[in-house]
Formats: sequence, structure tokens, C-alpha cells
Amino acid sequence: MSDELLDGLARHFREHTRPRLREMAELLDALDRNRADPLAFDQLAHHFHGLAGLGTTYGFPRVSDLAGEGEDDCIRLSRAGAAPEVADVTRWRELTAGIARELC
Amino acid sequence: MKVLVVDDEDDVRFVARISLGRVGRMTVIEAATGAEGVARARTEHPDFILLDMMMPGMDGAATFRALRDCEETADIPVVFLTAKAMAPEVERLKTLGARGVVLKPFDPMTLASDVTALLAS
Repeated sequence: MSDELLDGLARHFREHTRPRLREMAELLDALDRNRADPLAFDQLAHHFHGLAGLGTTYGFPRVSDLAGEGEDDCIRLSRAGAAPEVADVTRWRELTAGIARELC
Repeated sequence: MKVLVVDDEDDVRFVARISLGRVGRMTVIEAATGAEGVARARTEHPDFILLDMMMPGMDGAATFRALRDCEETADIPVVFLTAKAMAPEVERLKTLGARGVVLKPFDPMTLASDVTALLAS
């Protein structure tokens, strides 16, 4: 039963994460336009936090790792009261692309 | 055993429902917000509550306090569900009466037994 259950969870996660990744791409576009956009930053941080907490549970440990890196970046910037730099947004695009590759 | 899972993430509630329901053979009730969680706890009288720490609006700590302040829900054991970074905060909540913590990401095949062990300790 466990293999069937875990396969089912993996399928669910792939299906449900695709729209999330699309939304993250849109948020990154918003940050490209305005790196001080607090709503886009908070929503992106929320997605990284969510994926960090879910990836391993659903059978994708690398997703938790990559999202955890994004979450750590966001926490660091929040504590510093700083807006992301261009390099941060670039890095987050790479992390998001890495997450997408894990789900293929 | 009846469990109330309170978490704003659909995908957390889904896997908890599968894990606790199919693997753990528990009856699972869900709530997506702290306020909904308090309301459902009052009407459903679960045997325990699995409560997320980070939720928008009424977070896990505020929800826990609200459950403790309500006579109908004050004695329902609460286990927090949280990311590793929040563990120190949960240690503080354990001193206030929370039964324990399950860290995210959790193993869906052992969640039920992990929670059962915390409740028995």
C-alpha cells in the first residue's frame, strides 16, 4: 500500500505545484519591475516556505532543499528590512527553475 | 480517534488527511484558518488537534491561546506542526501546555505514529 500511496502523493504534488510555480514566476516578474514590491516579496516568501515544508513529505526532498534556500534568503532580507537585489531575484528564478526540473 | 488538522496550506491538509486517515485509520477534520479551527474544535470535539504555527491572520500561537481560553476546547491536546526554524517558539508553547511538535517536512508514513507517541508521552 505504501508505494501506491506515495506514488499518488507524488502525482498530486506535481499537479498542484505547477500553478504555484507559474504564480512564483509572475511574482518574480513583478519584483523585476519593482524590487521593493512588498506584496510580491511576501507572497514569494510564502511560496518558498510552503514548498520547503512540503517537498520532502511528497517525495521530492530536493524541492524542500531548493525552496528552503529561497526561504532563508527571504528571512534574511526581512530581518534586515532590505529589498531584494537583482542578484537575489536572479537566484530565485534559478531556484524556481530547479524546483520545476525536480517535478518533471 | 478523531483529529482536527488546522493549516492554511491545502497540500498540507491533503497529505495529513491521507496520512492520518489511511495510514493511521483516524477520522480527519480540517480547518484552513485559526478561527475556523477554533469553531470546528467546539463543534466536532476532536481527540486532538494538529495545528500549524505559521498561518496568516490568527497564527498558531493565537489559535492555541483561543483554544485554551474556551471551556469546550481547553482540554483538547494540541500538537504543533511547524518548520524547523520555528521550533524554539514551540518549545515555549510546550511550557504553556502544548503536547509537542511535529516538524515539517514530515514523513507521511509515520505521521500518525509520531503524533500518537507524542500524545502518549
